[in-house]
Amino acid sequence: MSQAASNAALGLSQSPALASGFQFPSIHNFPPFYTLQPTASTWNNQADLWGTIIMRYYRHHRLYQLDLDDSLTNEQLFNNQRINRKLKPEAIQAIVDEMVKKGDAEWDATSQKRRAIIYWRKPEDWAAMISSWVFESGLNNSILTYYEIAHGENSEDQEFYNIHATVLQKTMDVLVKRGVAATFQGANFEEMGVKFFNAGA
Amino acid sequence: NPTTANGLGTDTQDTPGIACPACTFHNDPFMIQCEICGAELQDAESVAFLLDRQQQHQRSISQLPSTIDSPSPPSSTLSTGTNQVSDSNALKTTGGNKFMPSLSSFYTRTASGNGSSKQSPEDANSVKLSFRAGGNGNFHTLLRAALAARVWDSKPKKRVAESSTALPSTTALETAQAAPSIKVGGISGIMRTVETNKKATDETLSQAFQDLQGLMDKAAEMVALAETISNRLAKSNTMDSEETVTFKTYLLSMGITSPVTKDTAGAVFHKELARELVEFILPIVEREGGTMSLMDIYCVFNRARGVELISPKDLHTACQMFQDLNLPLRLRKFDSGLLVIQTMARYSDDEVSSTISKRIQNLPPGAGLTAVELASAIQISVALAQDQLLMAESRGLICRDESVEGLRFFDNLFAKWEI
Repeated sequence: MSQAASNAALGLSQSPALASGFQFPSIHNFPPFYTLQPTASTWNNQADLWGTIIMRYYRHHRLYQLDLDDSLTNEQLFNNQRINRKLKPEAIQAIVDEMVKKGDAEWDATSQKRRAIIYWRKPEDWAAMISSWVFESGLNNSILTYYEIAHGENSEDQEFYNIHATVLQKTMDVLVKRGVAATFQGANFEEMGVKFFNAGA
Repeated sequence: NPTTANGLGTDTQDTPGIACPACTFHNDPFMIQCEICGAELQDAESVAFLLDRQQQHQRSISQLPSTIDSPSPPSSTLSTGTNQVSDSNALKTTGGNKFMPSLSSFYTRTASGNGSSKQSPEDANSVKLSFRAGGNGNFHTLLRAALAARVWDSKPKKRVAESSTALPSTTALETAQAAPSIKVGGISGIMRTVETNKKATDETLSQAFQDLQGLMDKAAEMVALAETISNRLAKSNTMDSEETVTFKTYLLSMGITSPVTKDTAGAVFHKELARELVEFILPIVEREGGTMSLMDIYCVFNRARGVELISPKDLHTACQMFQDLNLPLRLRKFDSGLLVIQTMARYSDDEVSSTISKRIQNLPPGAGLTAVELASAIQISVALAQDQLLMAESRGLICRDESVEGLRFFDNLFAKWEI
C-alpha cells in the first residue's frame, strides 16, 4: 500500500482494471513510458518497469509467448488508448532484449526477434512445481507424456496447465540435468515422455 | 472695360503696358506690381479688369472647339459673366472661379500693404536702373568715371570723420547708414532673397558641422586623457582605494581605454584579447542571466573598443582560449551550431538542469514541457531551451515523450517509481 501511495503522489491517474481483472500500474499512463528514452540510466529504469509490467500481465493471463505480430496481445499492453500512446515494435524489441539479458525472456531463434517467450516463472521454478506435483500425485516411476503434464486431466488445476511447449521443454531440461527425470523421444513433441525417479525431490 | 471675345491679340495691342506710378517703368499689362521697384501698379478697377480678362482668356481656350454657335459675351465682373454664359460653359467657368480667389486675395494683400515699406530688407549689393526718354548715355559716362576714380575708397573715411565731428546731427545719418534702405523689387529681388536665404542656410550648416568637428576633436582628447589616467593608475599601487575603483568604473563605462591591438600585443594578441574580453564582459554576461550569444558579445565588445575594432574571427579565437587561460567564462557550442558565452560560476549545467527539473516538477500532474514553452517562460531562445532540456535529460532528471504533437519533456518518474 505504501508503494501505491508514493506512486500516486507522482501525479498519474490510475487506469480502471481490465475485464480480466488485471490492473496496470499508473505508470502505464505516463506518456514518456512509450518513448524509448535516449538517456541510459533513464532507459534502464524504463525497461525494468516495462519488463515487470509485461511479466505481471503475462502471469495474470497465463501467457507465455510475446508475438510482435499478434495485435491481440499488444492491444492492451503496448497500446494505451487512454493517453493515445503506443509502444513501437522497435521499443518492444529493445525491452525484450533487456529482459533476455536478465533471463526473463528468450527470443525464438527462428523468428528474427518477432516472437519471444516470457519467463514470468523461471524454468527452475516450474521444475520444482512440476516435480512436486508428480510426487504428490504418485506419478513418479511411471512415464508421463508432455501432453499429460501440460494438458492432462490431472494437471487441470495446476498452475502449469497449458504451459507453453518451449517452457515445458526448458523445464524438463532442468530436471534432466538435475538427474531427477529422464526424457524419452516420442513421435512428436506432445508424445515425448518423461520419467521421474524416486530418488529425486 | 473694353474687351473683345475674339482673342488675346487685340488686347495686347490696345494696352501698350502699365507705367509704374513710382518709377515710371513700363510694365507688362499682366503685372500687378512693378517689375523694377515692386510698387503697386493697378488700382482696384484695373485689377478687376485684369481678372475679367484672364477669365475670358481661359474661357476662350476651353471653348476653342465649340465657339461657333455661342461666342461668350464680354463681361466686366464674374457674376455677370456666369449669368450670361450658356449651360455648356457652366463647367468651364468653374475654372475661372477657382482662379478667382487666388488672384483677388493677392490683390487685397498688396492693397493692404500699400504705402508702407512692406518689402523685406533686400540685399543692397546691386541697383537696377531704368531709363526712359534717354539719359542712359550720360549716366553711363559718369558711372565709368566714378568707377575709374574709385570714389568709394576715399568716401567712407570722410563720412566717419563727419559723423565723429558733427555729433548732434549724426544719429539720423548713422541709422540710415547702418540699415541701407535700398528696396529691390521684382524677379531679381525675389531671386536675391532666395540667394540670401540659401547663403544663410549654408552658413548655419557649416557652423553646425564646425561644432561636430569640434566635438570629434574633443572626443579624441577625451580618449587620450582617459588613456593617460588609466596608465597613471596602472603605475600607482593604490588600486584598492575606493576612489580609484569608482573612477575606474567611470573609465570603463566610457569604453575600453587602451584596447589590446595586434600592434601592442603581437603574438599573444588573442590571449590578451581573451583577458580583456573577460574583464569587460563578465559583469554584462552576469547581468544578462549568465548566457549571451557570441553575436551580442561581438556588438557590445566592439562598441566599447571604439575605433580598435576586432573581427568576428579574432573574437572566436579569443573565446576558445577561455579554458586554457583559466578564465571564468566558457564558449559553448550547442548542437544547433549556436555559439554562446556562459559564466562558469552562475551558469553551471547542474544549476540549469535542476532549475528545469524543478520547473517541470511544479507543472500540474501529467503535463510536460516543450522547448518553446520553456523558451518563452524564461526568456531564452528556443534553440537554447532545447539544448538545456536535452542536457537535463542526459542527466536523467527528465524524460521525453515523442508523439505526433512533438517532443515534450516530463519529470523522470521512472527513477522514482516503485513497482
